[in-house]
Amino acid sequence: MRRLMPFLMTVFFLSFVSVGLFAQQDLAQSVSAQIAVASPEQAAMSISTWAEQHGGYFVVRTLDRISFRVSPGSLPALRAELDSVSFQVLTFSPAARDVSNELSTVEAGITSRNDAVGRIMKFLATSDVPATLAFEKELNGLVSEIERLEGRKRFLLDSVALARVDVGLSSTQRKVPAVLPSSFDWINTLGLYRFLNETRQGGR
Amino acid sequence: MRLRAAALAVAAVIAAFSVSCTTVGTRLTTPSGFAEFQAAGEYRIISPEGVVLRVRTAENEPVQTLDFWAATLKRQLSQSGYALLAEGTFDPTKLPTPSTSPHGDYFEWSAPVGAEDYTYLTAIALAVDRIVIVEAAGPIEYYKLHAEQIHKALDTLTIAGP
Repeated sequence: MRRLMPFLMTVFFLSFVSVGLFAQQDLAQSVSAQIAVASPEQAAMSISTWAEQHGGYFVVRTLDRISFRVSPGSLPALRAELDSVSFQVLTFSPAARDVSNELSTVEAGITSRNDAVGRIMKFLATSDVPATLAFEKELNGLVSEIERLEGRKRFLLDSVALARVDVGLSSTQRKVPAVLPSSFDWINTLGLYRFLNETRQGGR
Repeated sequence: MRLRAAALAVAAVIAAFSVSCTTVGTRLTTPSGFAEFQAAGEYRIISPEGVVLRVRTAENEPVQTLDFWAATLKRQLSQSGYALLAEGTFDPTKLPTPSTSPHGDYFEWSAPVGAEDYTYLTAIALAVDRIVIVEAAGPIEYYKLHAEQIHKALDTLTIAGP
């Protein structure tokens, strides 16, 4: 037993290391951001061009929002891009979801249903009419389940291959603010134009 | 005992008066890249690109908390048509702020000036009986260059002395 111990420990260690090395994480990455821009239209154009340059494409582009897909490898550069096209990045929330387990479950589901289809097909060749009808009904159910699972698998793989980015575009407006009187004296002394006049003229 | 109470009262009045007078000289540590200039007794700084900042004070009249004034300021400028870009707090540790409002509040707005978009910063803190007001503004791309330094400088607000 003593002589076996080093061997068993080595096997245990190697299996542990191999699990660590080869355990594959399928991450579905996404980023949600809100940026303040002077021209939402221009910013959306710049962002979609950037996405295309990084192997992606835009999904939705409206006046206040742009959603696009891009390779996960280019996400680290996304923040700098948003900084460059906006006045300010108001929020930037990256997220990642490990879909490995769900992917395994979906794949296992597809395999088991395909096996069931294979077994039914074998029986189908020798079955009588009532049994054939029952098998066909069962086959229809299995095929539709397989299609649903295949769709889910494609969706998960797609989520891993391309990250989803959703950027809200807050317009900084091109409207000149009005001067509204306040009941409080010092509040009445605030205002961009008044401030610029007073500081540029060197007096008050 | 009476004499002592009277002396304490006089001292308190003198202290309050002196603070009231000296808050007029409120300033902050000039961020690098800005030049300081005095005008109308206020602390003012300007960057080469024209980003301007000034510090002044106003009487806390009627006496109110920082939360009250911050809410009033925010409402006033929002209703006037300024677009709120960001808001937050700062920590003016060198100011004699009341224990109920030890921090300061800032708001960054956007508004057009001619063909350009400007950022306008309004920041307030309380110092004894006065409201310390910091304003800064500049074209958005230039303000952005100095925004971090300006935010840091808000923490250095202090009473400069007579």
